[in-house]
Amino acid sequence: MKTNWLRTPKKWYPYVLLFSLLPPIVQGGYYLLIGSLYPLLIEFILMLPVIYFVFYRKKGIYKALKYWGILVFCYGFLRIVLITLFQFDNGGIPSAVYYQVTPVYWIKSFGYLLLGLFLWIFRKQYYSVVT
Amino acid sequence: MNKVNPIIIACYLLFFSVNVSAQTHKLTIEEITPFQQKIIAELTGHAPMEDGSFLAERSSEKQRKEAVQYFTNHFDSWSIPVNNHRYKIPHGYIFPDLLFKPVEGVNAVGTIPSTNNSDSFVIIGAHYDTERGSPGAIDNASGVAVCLAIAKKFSSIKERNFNLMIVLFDQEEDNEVGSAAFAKKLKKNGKQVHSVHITDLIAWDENRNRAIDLQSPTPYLEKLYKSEAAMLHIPIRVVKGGASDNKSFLALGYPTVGVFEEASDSTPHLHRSTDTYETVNFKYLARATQLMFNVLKTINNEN
Ligand SMILES: [Zn+2]
Repeated sequence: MKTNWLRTPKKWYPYVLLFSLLPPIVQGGYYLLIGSLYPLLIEFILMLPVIYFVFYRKKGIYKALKYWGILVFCYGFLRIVLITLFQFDNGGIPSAVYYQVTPVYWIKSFGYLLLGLFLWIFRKQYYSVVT
Repeated sequence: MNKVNPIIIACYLLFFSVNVSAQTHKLTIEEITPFQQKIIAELTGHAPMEDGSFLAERSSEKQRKEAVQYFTNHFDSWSIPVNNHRYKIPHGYIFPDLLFKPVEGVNAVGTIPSTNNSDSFVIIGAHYDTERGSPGAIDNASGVAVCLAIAKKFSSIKERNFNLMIVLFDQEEDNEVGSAAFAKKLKKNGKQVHSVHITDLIAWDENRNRAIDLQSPTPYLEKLYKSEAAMLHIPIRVVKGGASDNKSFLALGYPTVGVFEEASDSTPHLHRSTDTYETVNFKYLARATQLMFNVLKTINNEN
């Protein structure tokens, strides 16, 4: 019987979820340092269901991955939609935003898209690794 | 040998000292114009900077950094202490704050200290950033050239009764965030501010009436500017609002005045690639510089 590499659960899967929680914490923390609490607050609120699913629900990690995967995907998608629109009309875009749209920003945005997809597609394997 | 009349000597000395002081403290058009031509040429890519590079506009982080270095070099060359103000602030809107890094910028700040340990500060300021794709000759290399010409001259005045702070603001084109951050810091530090004089768009006079708009001046500043303008034959029109960085200081209650070309006779090249060196009216710019400098001199004599 052939084993499909993709269908084999990997030990490092759970760390991907942990890793995916880092960027919003860093982003929120960065704003907190300059005196703005609300980005961290919003990100924390969006993370609450993950914490709830993981710690308080049976088979919660499956639900957490599904939820968080969709959210990370949407975040990447939103970034890509926005910066694609900038290519057509950037007249009203402040320079402080405009000049942040570098090739690195594009790569990161696609990275979020792929990360979201990964979390969502492999949610079942996660579950089998964790349990 | 003839006896020298002491009265003649006294008269001679009096005349000589008055003449010297008049020479030192008078800012002439002939003195201002070549200086401002060089500044605006270098800030707009019309002429190369000292290192041979061209600064075509001042909107990206790299270009603004080069501009700040340029101002710092000028302040240094006149022995004016430099204390640039770096800020990092939120965009203030939910999507940019969740999707992008915070807004970062640098206000170039030089302070000419008083010679009598005064705590009082007079601030003159202009923004140096440009809209993307515009060389920003009138918007606002012109205002920067006013501030630098005044800074150079004022630093040579022997008796200074207040500290003159020259602030070249970043990111005016992004909702005046640079001056807002600076005004906030100023308030926090509790500095004693006599007055704030902001200039922007100050080199267009198509109808050749020499007129200048004063925006939202306090009654004291209005009177002062009007009396100095009368001596320079500059018509003054007082208007309301806060069209530039003056808005940031008005919002915090500082005695502020905006010094601009007439809103009804302002550059048609605003925020365009055509806002170039060639469109600058250097004579009008020099007169505006004289006006602001004379106002500062009068404040200096009053204090
Ligand atoms: Zn401007």
